[in-house]
Amino acid sequence: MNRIYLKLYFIISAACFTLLPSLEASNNKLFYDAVRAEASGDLVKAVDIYCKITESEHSANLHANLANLYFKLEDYARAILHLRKAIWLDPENREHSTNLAFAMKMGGVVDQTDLDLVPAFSVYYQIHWLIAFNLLFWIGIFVASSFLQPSFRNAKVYVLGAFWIAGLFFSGWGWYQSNLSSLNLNREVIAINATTQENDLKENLALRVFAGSGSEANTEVPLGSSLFLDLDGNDLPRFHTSPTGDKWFLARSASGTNKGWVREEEIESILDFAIK
Amino acid sequence: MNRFCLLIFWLFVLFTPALSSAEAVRIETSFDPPNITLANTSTYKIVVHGSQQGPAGGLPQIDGLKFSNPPQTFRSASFINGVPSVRFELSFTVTPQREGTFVVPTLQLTIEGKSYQAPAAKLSVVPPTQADKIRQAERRNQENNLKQAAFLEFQCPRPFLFKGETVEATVSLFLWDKLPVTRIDQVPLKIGDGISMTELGQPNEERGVRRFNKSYSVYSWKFGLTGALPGKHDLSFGSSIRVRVRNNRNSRLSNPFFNDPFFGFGREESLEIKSQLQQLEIRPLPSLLRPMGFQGAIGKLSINSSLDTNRVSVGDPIKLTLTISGSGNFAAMPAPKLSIGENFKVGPPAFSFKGNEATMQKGSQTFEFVVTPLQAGLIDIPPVDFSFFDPSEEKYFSISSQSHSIRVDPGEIWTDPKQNNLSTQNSVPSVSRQDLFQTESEPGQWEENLSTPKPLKSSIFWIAQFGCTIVAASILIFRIRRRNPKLELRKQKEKLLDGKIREALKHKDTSGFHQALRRKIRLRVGIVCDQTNTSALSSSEIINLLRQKQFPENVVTDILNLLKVCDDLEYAQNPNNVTTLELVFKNASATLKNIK
Repeated sequence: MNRIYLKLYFIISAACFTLLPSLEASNNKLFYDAVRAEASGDLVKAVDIYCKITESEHSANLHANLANLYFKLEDYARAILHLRKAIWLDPENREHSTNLAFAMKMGGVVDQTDLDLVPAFSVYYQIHWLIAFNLLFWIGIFVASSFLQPSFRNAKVYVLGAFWIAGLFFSGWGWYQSNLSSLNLNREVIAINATTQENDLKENLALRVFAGSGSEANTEVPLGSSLFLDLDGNDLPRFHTSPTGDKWFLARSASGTNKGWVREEEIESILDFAIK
Repeated sequence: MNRFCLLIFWLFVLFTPALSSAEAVRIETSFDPPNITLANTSTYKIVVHGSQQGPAGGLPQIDGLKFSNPPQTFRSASFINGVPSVRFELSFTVTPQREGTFVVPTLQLTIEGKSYQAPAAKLSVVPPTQADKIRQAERRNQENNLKQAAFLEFQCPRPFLFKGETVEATVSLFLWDKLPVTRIDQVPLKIGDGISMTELGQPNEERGVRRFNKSYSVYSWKFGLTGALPGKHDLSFGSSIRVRVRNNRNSRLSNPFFNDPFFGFGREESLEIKSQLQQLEIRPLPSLLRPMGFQGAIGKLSINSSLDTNRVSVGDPIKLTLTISGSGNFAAMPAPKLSIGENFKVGPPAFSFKGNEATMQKGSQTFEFVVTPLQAGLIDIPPVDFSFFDPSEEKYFSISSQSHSIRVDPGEIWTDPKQNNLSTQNSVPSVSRQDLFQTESEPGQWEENLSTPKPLKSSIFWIAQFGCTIVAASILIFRIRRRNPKLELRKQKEKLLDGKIREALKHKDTSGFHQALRRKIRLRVGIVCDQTNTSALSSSEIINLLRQKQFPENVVTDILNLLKVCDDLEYAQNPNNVTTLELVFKNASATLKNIK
């Protein structure tokens, strides 16, 4: 039985190794097709191709190009969304940040997401903080267990210990803050137009009092604004399914002042998140 | 059945010694037949009577006769008139090379360890008879028929190629219409190195081709032949076909093809076919007047370029297509280098070939570049240079594509209509649109998903933690095991004494200083010499212990002096003599360092 499982494992692994490069190659081809479609002026076809690629893989340039197309189609909310994705994939690219600022300006969106965030505690440094904390912790443990005598009368031991604890506290705090930032990013969604039809583009998204289409709006936020979904006990977004089968999520603005129910078609997460 | 086999076995066991010992060993030699014509063969036989063991020895070389090797052997045992008789026969097929009388001389052979003499034998070879001549001619005819029944023909347009040059060559398989071929087992395979060829595809079939007064079906494969290594190379082709043959057991040549040229129905046999060996020379490309931009293209080629549009906005990609047409080594042709200035960003080209894909020799190769203009204005795409070597003229040529002018617009300036209505002052965004939203022509690094890292859910993280815990625990356990409480207590005592000595030195307490120093000396010697009760050691015992431990005499003398000083000055009450104390302390520290 074990041999069968082993064989199955090898077959599946081999298939994965064979198929992965081909997937990448086919996505490259699709990407070039989309670039050509855009060059020939068929923006909608280019958008369709890019969206098809995003079902399997992502790249910063792909999302930047997609944002560009949405910008040309005057769907600033989706342009903002894809620029955020591009920035997540390539945070060093200043062009994306400039474009995002411009798209937000065009969409009339005020950036409130990163106001309180110290860059060092951002999600990008999450791993760095954890590594720093771990290194410091284990170096301390190893030094103590290898060299130090159990002498509590030596002042040096106290000084070193104090530095060690302070370092641990600081790196732990850094890790905690970047982890909070990561949690926020995971539940962050962008308000988008439920339809991609040009003649049906709206400017604001209604945050409703109750989870239903007939409910009146509690407040409105401009399309392209960041919203944060409320989570349940399992760290999954809280949602309500209406009798018609629509999924409604409780979302609030970055400041937390605006809050209301939105349909799943009206939002899209920046990162992969189980809302669809 | 088993009983019968057992009986045979026992009979064999019982009678074998009897058979071998019953008859004296005797050797006969003969040619059978002793007289032959040059067209026939004879058999040279060595018959050993009285033994079944093969004789050891060798046949002499007879000029004009060819003996088959290995010979056929035959063993027999019989009872003749109640007398057991055994025999061993060796038969060599002898083929005469010329006419004449040949004698195999007397041979010395060894049988069962004893030496015996085999008598001489004579063979007479006479000229071939008329019947032999007819048979030989028939046989040659049949052999020719067989060679002409199926053969391969290889045609190369030139007797030499240049290194890297590709030509269209043809290999044809001729099959005689009367040959009952069931299938072609193996398409022609190249035999020879230094030349590469493209794969053979489907052959062209032609029927009723006349050769050697026979009608043939011809299967021809066209393929690309490329010279790889300079030098002269032998080239031939081999193939195999399956034909139906009839078993002819009476055939003297035991060749199913010879005696029955029309074969007929029966079993299938494989027939190997080889083309004639042909020598092909591969010449290196001349280095004289070789252009700088030459990248290995060989043939008779031309270049053409086109753009899909001549008006775009900044950042919008354009398709620049370079087409190289003619005949040449398209399979190995690299894309021309595109140097069109800093006004454009150029992506890698897409390749496509139109033409005979089996040979990749004639047709057109298209290189499609995605070019993105980075600046606005009327910009020229300069001609693209391309160099190639023409093997027919044996010269290098450099050609260029045509240049193109494109108009690159800066793009539309975004104006917010809402802002326009409210205030005309803020109508244009402060950021220029032309620097924004440039389409990337390369996808960049692919990522499978968009998610934040979750190191606490990573097995590597927890394995690292576990590993570190194990290492730290091991170090602790190791240190705890190595702990010696007695030794640590003594070291602690030594530290305390050190403290006391320094204290006494500080307060100029001569008595306390010498007291503590003496105790320290005792303690150190006690630790080194494994003495438990160090406080009870007298000066003489300390010196004895050091000598027993074989410390150098100068160290022992120094310790002795120190102890004497301690004894003398402990109660000297001379607090002013601080310099002496410090001197003693330094000496003591230096001496005690030697006792380890």
